[in-house]
Amino acid sequence: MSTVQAAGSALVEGRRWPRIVRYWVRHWPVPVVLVLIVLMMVPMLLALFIAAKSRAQFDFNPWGLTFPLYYHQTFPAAWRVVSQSILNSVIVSTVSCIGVLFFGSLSAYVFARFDFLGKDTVFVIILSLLMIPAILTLVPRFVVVHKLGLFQTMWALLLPYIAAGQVMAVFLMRTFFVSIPSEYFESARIDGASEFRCFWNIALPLSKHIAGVVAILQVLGTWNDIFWPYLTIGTKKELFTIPVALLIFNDQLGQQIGTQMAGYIIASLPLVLLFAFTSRLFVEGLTAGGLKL
Amino acid sequence: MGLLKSWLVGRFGGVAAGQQAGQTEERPSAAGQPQAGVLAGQGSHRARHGLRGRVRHALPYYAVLLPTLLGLLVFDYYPAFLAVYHSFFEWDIGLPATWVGIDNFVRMFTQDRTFLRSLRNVGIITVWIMFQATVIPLVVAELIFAVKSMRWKYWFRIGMILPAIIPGIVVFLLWRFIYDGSVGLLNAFLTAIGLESWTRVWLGDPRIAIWALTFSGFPWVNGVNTLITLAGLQNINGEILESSELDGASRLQRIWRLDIPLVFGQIKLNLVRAIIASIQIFEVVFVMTEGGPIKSTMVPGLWLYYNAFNYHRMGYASAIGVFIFVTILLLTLASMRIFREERA
Repeated sequence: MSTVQAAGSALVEGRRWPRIVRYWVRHWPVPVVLVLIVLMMVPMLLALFIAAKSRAQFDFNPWGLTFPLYYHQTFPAAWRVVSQSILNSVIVSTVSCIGVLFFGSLSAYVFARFDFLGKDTVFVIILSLLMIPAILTLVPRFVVVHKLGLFQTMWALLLPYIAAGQVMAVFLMRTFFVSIPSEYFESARIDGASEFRCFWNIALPLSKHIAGVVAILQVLGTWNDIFWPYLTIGTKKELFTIPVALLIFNDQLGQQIGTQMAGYIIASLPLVLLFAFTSRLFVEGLTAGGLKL
Repeated sequence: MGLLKSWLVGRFGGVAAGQQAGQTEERPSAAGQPQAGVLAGQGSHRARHGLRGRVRHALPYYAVLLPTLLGLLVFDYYPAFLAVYHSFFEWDIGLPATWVGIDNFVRMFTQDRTFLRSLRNVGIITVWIMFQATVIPLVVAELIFAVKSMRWKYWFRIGMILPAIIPGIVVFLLWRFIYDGSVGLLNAFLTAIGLESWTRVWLGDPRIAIWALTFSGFPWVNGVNTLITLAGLQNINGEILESSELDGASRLQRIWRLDIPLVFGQIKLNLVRAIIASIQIFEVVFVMTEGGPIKSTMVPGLWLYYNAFNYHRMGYASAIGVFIFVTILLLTLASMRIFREERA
């Protein structure tokens, strides 16, 4: 009896289809998603292929991968064009990141831990900025920057970036600080720690993770911003950030298509590298941006 | 910064010492309401009474908040105020402003044909992006959700994010290149599959350009939205899904009856984000077509920019900005309300 049953179930489960077919019936979404992801990466793969081409190779076969590869020529040529602007972008992203983290976490701490006259009102007023679209303030912010004499200086980027980045930082970090049990702080205070030490030695070390999310949001936002630097840096080449440099040099490099594509790849690399080391924070940072209602 | 830090240490440190002395009276209230005035310091009870006392008590906190508030005031609140204020003026940098009432808004809708065209364009883009931000991520999230191997799932999540970290400018420029009339990939592909008659200068034809622009970014999978939806799916209680399976519900029935209602919060979030982003869209247009050919791909955001910096009509540009702001506000509120009711 039992052998019959076993044989029967083996027939149902096993014999009818070979194993490989059963495997893919069970795992059919895997190839589908794989194809999707490859399609999503097509533009980048194209850039990678075309960056390997000399002019002649491009004329002969613009889309496939051609040999020999000319990476050793296109990348150095592109680097000479974009290196300054990569450096500028690194400076802008790093400095504005530090600024946002420093001032944002201090403010978030004050909002999270203390009670004082007008606190809730001020907090709501700060959060209300999330509702104001960037396009509304683009022109008048430019006017303000112009009047302050910051036009065509690095400050025209840094100060507004630091100011604007803090809204999200205060929001995210305040939520985190509130969740730290107040006993931590109370016992530290009893042991004689100053309020600043509570902030510096207790709150900040605990908030490394959320601070990383804030930092990634800030780096992504500043690295990818096209228009604000395009407006405020204007024609001052030595201050170009990477998007502005790509936009301007794109037309100048029209003939050297390989170099142009190498430039695109170089511009993407810093974020890809950052992602490689902090992929989890990246995912959270990107989805935390989704909280922006 | 160093100065601020030393000031804080001095200030807060001193207060801490002061508070230690009055510890016994402070403790009960501090335990009941943890955040309450630890800084109150010297003679806290007296300080908390009366407006002057409360203002004095609040001052040190505002001193810490000052850099944040000052930055926001100068670079965000004041510009927002200026935008609304200038929308009632005819004005350019360095020139005196003339009050024109609501003329700017009237002109937008009665005389400015480019603006009306831009409204149509942004309508097309918004409808598509709303679809792209909600339905496609749901489908892809369901696909990833159906993957049984945890390892593949992990890599797929990373694969979804990777395209999102390529700088926008690079993606836009690459798509401009794909649409190129002579060397573009799209034309090469059409020729290869025998549809040579379909080839064209995609971004150079005024009738086609807006559609080419809208549908750039194939296969239109928004990785971030997909992950948001996927997170919602993974939060669904596994027992609910199991019992639906036991009751003989098909996969499609389960998705329609269970998954969609249960991840509706995430879908709504994606929808509202799509509305906010697409109404003020202009960077992609600026990079790919600069609003052309013959302004056929103009969108309000870019038209604002041209008015402000090319035609020196800052007042008019501000009015367009206010219009965009109000539109976003109304659409956001409307979509949140509509979908709240539908869900109930």
